[in-house]
Amino acid sequence: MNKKYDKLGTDVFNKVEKISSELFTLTYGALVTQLIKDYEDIEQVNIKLEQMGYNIGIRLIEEFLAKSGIGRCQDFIETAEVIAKVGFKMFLGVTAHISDWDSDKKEFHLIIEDNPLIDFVELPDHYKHKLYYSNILCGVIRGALEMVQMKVKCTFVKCALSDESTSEIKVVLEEVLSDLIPVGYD
Amino acid sequence: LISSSCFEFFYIEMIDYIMKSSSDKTQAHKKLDKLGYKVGHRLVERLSNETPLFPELLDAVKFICKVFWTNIFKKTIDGLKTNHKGVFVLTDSKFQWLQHLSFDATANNKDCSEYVQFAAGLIKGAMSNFGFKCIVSFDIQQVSTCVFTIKIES
Repeated sequence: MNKKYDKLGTDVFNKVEKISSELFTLTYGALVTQLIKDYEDIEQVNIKLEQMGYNIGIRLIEEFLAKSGIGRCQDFIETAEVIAKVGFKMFLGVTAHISDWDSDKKEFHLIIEDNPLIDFVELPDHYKHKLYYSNILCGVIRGALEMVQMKVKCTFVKCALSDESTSEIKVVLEEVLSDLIPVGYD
Repeated sequence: LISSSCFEFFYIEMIDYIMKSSSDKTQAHKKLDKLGYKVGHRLVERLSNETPLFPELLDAVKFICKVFWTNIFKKTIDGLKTNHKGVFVLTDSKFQWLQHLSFDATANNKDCSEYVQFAAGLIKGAMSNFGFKCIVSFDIQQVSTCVFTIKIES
């Protein structure tokens, strides 16, 4: 299964329009700085970044499904693979990998070795372990999965900027929403 | 490399945040201009390794039209005019950040200048890195043609 999605990810990435990542990295950094200025509380900055990601995720899923041609995943294990090998590759040009499944297969860690958001970024000591600089990614995953009927919770367990390790996001499946039309929807 | 749409999804969300978190349009534009300035200033630093440290004015503007613009938009500026007295007019006839806006003829608000202001800031920041202080204004023409005017301050 691994190999199949590795290849699909590369194929899709070859197909999409690309730009160099510097503009994105620098602009993202400027926005985070602006948020820190706007909110005194760093926790609020984390929340806002996650929300912005969520808004992006609910829009981005459509392009993802259209361009990758991926249909419904059989189980959450496959979903995880698709996010790591195809989703990350298609938009950010890097792949992530999966580890630390729990026994119910409802919880995994997504490990991002080469996160373009943090290129040339250094956190001052007083923001370490407080600011989740790339928290927007958690929101994107949550938003995108919600549009395909999966309610998940994503949190950073490790951040490359604070921990001198790779970035690690914990993804927990909370609920599979039913396909039924919502009440009151005509 | 990243996908262009990745940046654009983010860009739309950033503009939305700045608009909502500002008291009025003027303040929002100021913020976008400043953000652009910072990014442009730093981006030039990464792109201009091979150009001389203090280029001539015209060379600096040409650098922006070619190298800088291509790095951001994958195309060069389509037209450059100057009065040789410190005013440069740059035309991008297919400005990327206006391409995907849907146009609603019935809407009251047809202003989409907030999607361009950041780019004006980028130019200003880039010029300042070359040592030129300037004012950058812009005009949106037709569907997605953008005209930027750089005015050097002496």
